Amino acid sequence: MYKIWLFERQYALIYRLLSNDVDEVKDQLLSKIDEYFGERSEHDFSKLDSRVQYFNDEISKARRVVDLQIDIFKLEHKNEDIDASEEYQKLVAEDERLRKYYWDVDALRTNLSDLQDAIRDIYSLLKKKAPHLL
Amino acid sequence: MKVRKIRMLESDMDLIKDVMQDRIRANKQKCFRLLSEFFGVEMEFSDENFNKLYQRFETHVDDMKKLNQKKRELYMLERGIKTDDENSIKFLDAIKGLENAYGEVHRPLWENGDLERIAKNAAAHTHFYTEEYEPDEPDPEAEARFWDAVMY
Repeated sequence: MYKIWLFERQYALIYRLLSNDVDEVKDQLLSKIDEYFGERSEHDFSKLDSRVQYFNDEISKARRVVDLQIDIFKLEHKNEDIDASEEYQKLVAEDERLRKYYWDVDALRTNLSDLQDAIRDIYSLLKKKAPHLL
Repeated sequence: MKVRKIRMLESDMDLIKDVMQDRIRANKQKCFRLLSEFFGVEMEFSDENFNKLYQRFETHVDDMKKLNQKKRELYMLERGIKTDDENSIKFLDAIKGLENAYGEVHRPLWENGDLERIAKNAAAHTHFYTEEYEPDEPDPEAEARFWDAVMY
């Protein structure tokens, strides 16, 4: 591993850029959740956690419902060619749609969390070494 | 627990084996009758038909239990209820019914498991007795080996 030395002002610049990115990712995250619910909400970042939690609860429930519907369909149509069934294909498509939303939101949350970790590290460094730049 | 050794004649052993085999066969037929009633089919008893119906029963019970469990979960999830209501209890009753049918069909087969073990032991001991024991010229060592085999 290498040590990379940066000037204080470069750190400050990175800090500002990352801070802007955080807001952008938060916005993307809320937009994705709005898209899932088919609505347009005020993007209030202070309510981000509760909005994400609500999304998680709802999508987990929706995914479980589809999962059960698929299993029930399979059991009720055992020894039949279910791939050719329109009803089955609809369930599979819904399962994929929900899965995609789940993973898209999860990726944005991970991205946000990584950014927040990086910002926290840089902020503590600047606070210690160059508080005048904050 | 104290275990007693019971000396038995070869002919008695054979009789036990025969009785066991008859009982095993009768149990299998009883099980077949229950399976036929369960599926509402009329088939002649044979090992092949027994195996067919038995396999069908095992798969059917397993599938139907899963189906009812999943339908119950879906029913409750869609209505946001956490405790069973009148309708979801119907799924639980169906599962219980399947479990009862499973127990009823398997009871004669579980008994057969025990009977087969006894018949197998009887067969093994009869063989040993015939080979090793000569009643006209008593051989205490052979007799001791025989009883060891019978007991352990």
